Amino acid sequence: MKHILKLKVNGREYEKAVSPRRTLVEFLREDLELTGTKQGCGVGECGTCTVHLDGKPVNSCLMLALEAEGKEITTIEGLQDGAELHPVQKAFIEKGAVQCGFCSPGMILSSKALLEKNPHPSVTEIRSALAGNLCRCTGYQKIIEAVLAAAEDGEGADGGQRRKEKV
Amino acid sequence: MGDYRILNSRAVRVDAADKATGRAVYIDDMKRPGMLYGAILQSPVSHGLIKKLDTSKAEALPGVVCVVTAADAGSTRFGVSPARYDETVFAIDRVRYVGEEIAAVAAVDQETAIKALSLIELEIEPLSLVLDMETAMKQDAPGLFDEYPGNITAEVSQEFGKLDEARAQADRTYSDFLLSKMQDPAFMEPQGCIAEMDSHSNLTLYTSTQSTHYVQRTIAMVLGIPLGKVRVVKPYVGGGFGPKAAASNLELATCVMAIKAGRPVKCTFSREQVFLRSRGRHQFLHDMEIGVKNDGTLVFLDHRAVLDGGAYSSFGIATIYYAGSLLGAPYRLPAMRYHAVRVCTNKPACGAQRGHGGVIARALFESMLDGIAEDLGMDPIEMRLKNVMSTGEETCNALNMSSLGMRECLEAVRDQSGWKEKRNRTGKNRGIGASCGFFVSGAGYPIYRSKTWHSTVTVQLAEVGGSAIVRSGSAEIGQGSDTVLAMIAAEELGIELTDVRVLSGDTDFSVDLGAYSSRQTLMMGHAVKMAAIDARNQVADVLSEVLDIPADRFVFSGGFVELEKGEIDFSKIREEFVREHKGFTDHPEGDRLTFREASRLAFIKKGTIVGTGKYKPPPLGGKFKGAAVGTSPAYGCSAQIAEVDIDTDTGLVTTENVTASHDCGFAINRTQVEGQIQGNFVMGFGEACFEEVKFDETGRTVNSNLAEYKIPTTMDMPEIKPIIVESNEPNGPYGAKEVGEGGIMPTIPAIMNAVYNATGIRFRELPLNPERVRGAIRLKESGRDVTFEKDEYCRRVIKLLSGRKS
Amino acid sequence: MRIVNDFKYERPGTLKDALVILEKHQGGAVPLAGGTDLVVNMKHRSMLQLFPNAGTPDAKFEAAKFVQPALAPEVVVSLASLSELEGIKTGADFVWIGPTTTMARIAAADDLPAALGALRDAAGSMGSPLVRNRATIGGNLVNARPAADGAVALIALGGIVELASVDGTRKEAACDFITAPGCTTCSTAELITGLSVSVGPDQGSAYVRHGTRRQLEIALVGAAVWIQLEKASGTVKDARICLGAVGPRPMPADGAAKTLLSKKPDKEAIARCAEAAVKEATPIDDFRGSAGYRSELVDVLVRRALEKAVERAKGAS
Repeated sequence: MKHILKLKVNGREYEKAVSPRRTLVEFLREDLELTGTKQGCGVGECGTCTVHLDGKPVNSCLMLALEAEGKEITTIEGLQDGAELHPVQKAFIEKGAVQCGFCSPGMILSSKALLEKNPHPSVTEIRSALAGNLCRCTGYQKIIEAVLAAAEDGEGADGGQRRKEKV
Repeated sequence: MGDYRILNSRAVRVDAADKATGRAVYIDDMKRPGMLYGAILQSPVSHGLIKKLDTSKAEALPGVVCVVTAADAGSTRFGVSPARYDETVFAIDRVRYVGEEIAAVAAVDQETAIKALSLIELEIEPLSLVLDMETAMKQDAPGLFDEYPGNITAEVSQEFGKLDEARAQADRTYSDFLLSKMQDPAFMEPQGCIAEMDSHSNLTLYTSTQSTHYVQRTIAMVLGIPLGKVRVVKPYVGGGFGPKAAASNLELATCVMAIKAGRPVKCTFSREQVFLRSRGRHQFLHDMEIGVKNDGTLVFLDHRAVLDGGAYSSFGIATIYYAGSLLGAPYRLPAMRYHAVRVCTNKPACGAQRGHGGVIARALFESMLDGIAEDLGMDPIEMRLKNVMSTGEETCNALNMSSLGMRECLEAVRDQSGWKEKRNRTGKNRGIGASCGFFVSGAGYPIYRSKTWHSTVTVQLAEVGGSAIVRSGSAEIGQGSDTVLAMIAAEELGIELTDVRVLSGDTDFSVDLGAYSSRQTLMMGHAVKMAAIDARNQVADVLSEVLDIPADRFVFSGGFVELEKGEIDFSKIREEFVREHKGFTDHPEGDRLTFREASRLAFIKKGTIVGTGKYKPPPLGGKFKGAAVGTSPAYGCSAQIAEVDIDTDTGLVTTENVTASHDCGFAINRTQVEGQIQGNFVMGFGEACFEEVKFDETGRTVNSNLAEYKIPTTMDMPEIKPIIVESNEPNGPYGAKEVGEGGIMPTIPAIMNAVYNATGIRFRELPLNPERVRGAIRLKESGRDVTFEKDEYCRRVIKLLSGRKS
Repeated sequence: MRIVNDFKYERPGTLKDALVILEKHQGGAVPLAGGTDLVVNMKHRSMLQLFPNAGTPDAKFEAAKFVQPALAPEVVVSLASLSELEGIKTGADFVWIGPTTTMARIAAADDLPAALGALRDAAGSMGSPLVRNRATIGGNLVNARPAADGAVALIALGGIVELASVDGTRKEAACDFITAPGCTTCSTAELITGLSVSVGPDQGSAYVRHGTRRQLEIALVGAAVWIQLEKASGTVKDARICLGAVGPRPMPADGAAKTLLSKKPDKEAIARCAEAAVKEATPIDDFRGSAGYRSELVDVLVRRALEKAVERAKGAS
């Protein structure tokens, strides 16, 4: 029996009839056609399905869609402001932190969540925060550098908030 | 090397923005109108005869559109190399590994397809299992195939130089062996495909593949469809590393379903199915004897190997040759003998995985060199430097070192890692180790015997002027090939990178053998360079005619066309262009003729300007059997130094301060080359210390998931300092050659050597997981000989191999 | 991987309503907290779990098992609306943690006393940052795996499990709660409503685990140690040790803990205690590691956990 699910995704309200069997990642990818969130394993072991749930990065493959009732979800599609990419996205692009791209949406979202909590993380803190996102291509080095660059940029995770003391 | 505007820069990847925004479409993001969903019935047993296969109940389930089996797919055999076509789409009467495809269901949704699988009645009569090399090679072993007596799917016996004479020249000889385990590529995106046949019997397959070309040929051959009516297209691909480089049963089964159902069918793998399919790294047992002179000069290598290739051949015939041939360089080796067999067992088939057959062989060889250096009282790097070949030399097995920056790579890591100071530091849990590596830059011959071009391509100038479209069959799988091709086209046409669009991975565009053996930069790079120059020349010819200036005087750069000396009076060209574009607000201005105007003029005069390019390597290699494998127009090489910190109580090996150099000839994109160096190291570390596919006593994979098949996380890896060496390869476009696979070669031995430096222990079994390391340390601490669980097993297997020698 | 079997989804607004549903369905209803275990168990089974007879002469392919996941409940009862089950309350001599409190929250609670160090260590080491944002301490406990980091820590801390059903409430020591792999004394009509730990001065605890990787690892062996020091003499007044993944359940090592009593927790005493813990552990060989190696790890990890716990106890007043 389907339930009506009401939630916000990328700032937009949705109300959809959803089967209890649906996981959040399936809902996002198939019901809302937001295919930026990936599914690399389905059991929370790779991180490619990472989304923000009320600002916290989680594995959307481990959640029933109905558990997101009343919540705010941010997917990779929700990061850019119109055509303006988020500073973390820009940093990933600039620094060569993207190769095959399959881990990138999740990796970027985990990075953004980190910078929101900790605007100037150390390398160790970055590695810790991204430890649930596997990457087989980059060796992680340039991803770390991208996060450091995004932090350095002063805008941190909140695009548009410039730090006045930075020249 | 010249000065380039775009090449050799850190240009941003052309696909990075799409990938960073979620815009990039991968196979599971795709939908086709009327699409059905497929699911595959797989064998639950490792070896057996199919006694009953009744799909009637599945067919009757509402929502099921068709069920297909071998009866629908036929019995045409396929594989990777025509010399070893031993697979059929579905098992016909026999299954040979857990996961082998038996039937498939296409239904209105995935849940229905999965439920339908549960209604298929299947009975399998189990057969005796062959689960390891020794069992496979025994006299009375159950045979998996009639055509592979003794379960030997390939055997190689080669001798280069005169080994017995060389042996007499050696002052000292050293012997050792190394056993590795089957490994998986663990790319983040599982395989998947969508097959669709149109109203005119044209079949299109969208698939996550490394080679649309090989998939196309296999589909046509197996399903009996004319090649010209099969099109294979790859969307964005989330990593390949080898196992996606050949047609799969998944792809063929999906085509069969789409044809029978008369509707598009999508079928994707779960992560577990990715592991069951494997086609990853073979298990290798290498046994080597190396002879040297007292001054450290290498004299001979006597090499024996046994490969466990799982149930089918896949790339195996190439794997077994690479395992021997790639040791011919980078050191001068006057004599080399190689005897190896590849056996089949009731486990998922193994194929080509990054570095192919050379990785474990290199690991043993380089760790033995380390031991030899120690015995001779030489620094391991100095000993290597002593033996490194020079540019222009040829190996004993006829591989030509048209460029070889091995010396530069070694010196770079030695000097930038603090090697000399750290080498002498004692401390029982810290060590430093070095190693070299060597790999082909594209296989010299295609997998199927043919005179085909390895890469063809078109560069079309937009009729409206100003931009170009590259249409290439090559496969961008994350390594950055699209960006490399765009950069080359932009460089030659003298336009901005943003004015080049690369369309790739579609067999309709051109022929390209695909992303394997690290070939695309060199081969498709050559072809694109040729095509871009061709297009540019066509424009120059038109300008020449119109302006009465010799064509070779035009310089295309920065979006403009100028002369080295002198001005061009292009007023009439501009007038005409502006007249044509009444109402437009972006008319070209300034006192230089733009490429936009020039290419538009060329269209007006000649019609669509298309430059064509093509590449195939010249005939390479010796005349001996198997000479083809290992040949390449160029070779990449690398050196790595890694430090390790070992928790001697638990055995956990942590790497620190990694310095990794790679000679890529010429870095078309510096950022991308660094990314490959770093990615290679991390994958190599995973294989060295964490990764192995584990089987139970019935042949089932027990760790078919990413929790128990352990690839490194961010917290397991150190900072990796990449160093680019550019030796300017004459056979490569702009001097460029490979980096995608060669960079993994030094990693396992660098770590093994660092662990030796820390503990004094040489490991004969991989991976160096904590339990194995802890066990060895404990033995050493107690003063006993360090032995490994499989030592006796290895000796028995080597004996079985030696018994085969004639 | 999909959830293929249908089920009813309930999301009660009060604890009472939740308990009524559990009672009504007589075992057919399961509570859903973070879902990091439950949702995985509800997805369709792997090849490995499907065919336990494979390879034997009487192996018969039971295709029906393809769609039988490890767990196929009739009803899933979401606890998401029950805010009273979430949170951390600190009193003068106790800490109370709601069962649906996430591991991330517990790991980040740096105002918790040193006595609860082990629980914070455990919460912060399991899964990954993504998993920890959903996984709950109650779920970890009720999932009852022998390696369950949270359960191992809670037992060492002498935690008390509070339970409720329509018939009333009860309390149970955490060390008695898990009875077998995957089994607890929590009946199908009960819910964990709280976890409490007594705290006092000069107490410290720590949890140390070992795995091949530093993240996304099920602990190969885990050791949680809780110490109470006698401030004046610096000797051990009380101690508890719990070991993970060396037996069918999280395993208290009472004998080992006893060896510390009234002794100064110096290197010797710690070593002897660790040795004793090895003797109490009953690890097995499996594809992750051998029993012998696990035993060695017990020694190493108990030592390390003890050192840390003592340090924390000394720092706490």
